[in-house]
Amino acid sequence: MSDGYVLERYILLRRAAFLMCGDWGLADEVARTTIARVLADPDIPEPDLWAYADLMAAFKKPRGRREHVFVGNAQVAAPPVGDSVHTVLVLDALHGLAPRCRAVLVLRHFCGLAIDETADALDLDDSRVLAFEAVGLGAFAGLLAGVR
Amino acid sequence: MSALLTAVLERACEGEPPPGDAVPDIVRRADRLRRRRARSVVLAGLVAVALVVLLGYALTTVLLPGPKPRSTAAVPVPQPRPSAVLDPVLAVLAPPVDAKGYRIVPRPPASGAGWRQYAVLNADGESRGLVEVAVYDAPAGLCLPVLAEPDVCALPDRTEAGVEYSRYAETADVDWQVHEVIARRVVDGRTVAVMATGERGTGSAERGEPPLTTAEVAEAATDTKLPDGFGLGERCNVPAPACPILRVPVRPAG
Repeated sequence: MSDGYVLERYILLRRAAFLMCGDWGLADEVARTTIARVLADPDIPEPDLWAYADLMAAFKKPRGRREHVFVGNAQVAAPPVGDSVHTVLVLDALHGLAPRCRAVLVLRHFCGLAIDETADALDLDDSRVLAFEAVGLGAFAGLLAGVR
Repeated sequence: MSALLTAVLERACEGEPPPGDAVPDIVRRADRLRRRRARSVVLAGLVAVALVVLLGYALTTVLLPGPKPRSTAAVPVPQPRPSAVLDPVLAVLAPPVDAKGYRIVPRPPASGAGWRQYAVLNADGESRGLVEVAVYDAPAGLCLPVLAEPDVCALPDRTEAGVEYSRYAETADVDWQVHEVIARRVVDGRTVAVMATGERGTGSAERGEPPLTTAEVAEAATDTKLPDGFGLGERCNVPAPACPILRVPVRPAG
């Protein structure tokens, strides 16, 4: 696998992980570990899908009880105030969901996986994926209405 | 709605930090993982080989027959004893000798088929005489001689363990004093003769006294452990030229 491919997958996986945990440091670590596993095992049949499944497995259990998410980015000197608020609102809405429901939303609407691929990655059946997706979209309805 | 949600999620990631050294770090991690995996495979292989070897050894040890036991046929050979401590005959004789402050040790030639010979030494290492033990098979009976009447058999004493015995004390000659007991186990006729001889040629009744009294010799001779200290088939029945010559000879019937 070329360095370009590794970088592209790393960025995508890190963003997905960030949406799952709201912490760029943790997201970076999980994404690096996942891609390293893919590179170390060339016999994986579908490396992209396997990488999503491995990444989401890292977030199966909730990490502590947090009612709200607060995002800080030390490496960005002065992020636009509007984007920062938007990010907090989105992450806050995501963290109001159960981990698997959040994973379904991220895989389906951020990573662009089909229903069956999402089901495979999360080890669910298709109907459960649809149910989680409906719950997630319902939770985001207010936020999306505001955006419109 | 889906496209709008995608745009919202992408916008939430806009403040992401730069990748930095992510790519070389990921490659390093992958190399480490590959090496660790290879080590695990090698280790698992070694463990599997060790298990197979151990299992094979255990199975062959348990399932295959061991070496044949030695024949238990009666062969008149002296029993090898690694030390005096493990000599069952000496174990019977030693307590009364030790009680007097003497020591009893095998005296070369110390043993043969059916007999043992021990020297008794005092605390200064001087000889205090000899103790000789011989075993016989007398299943058909035994005439315990009467010294004064060669043609008469003595009426034996009898222990509770079923051993008949007769005591002899020849102390008239101060240079050759002997205490001897002949004891026969009635149930199988196994007979033991124990002869304690004082140091000869001392010219003194006291210095030539046998190291064991007749009572002590009788106690040793009637001890059931004494005949069992000899091997199966060991015996001094004639002809047995190597056996000690007893002051009162044993002549089994038949």
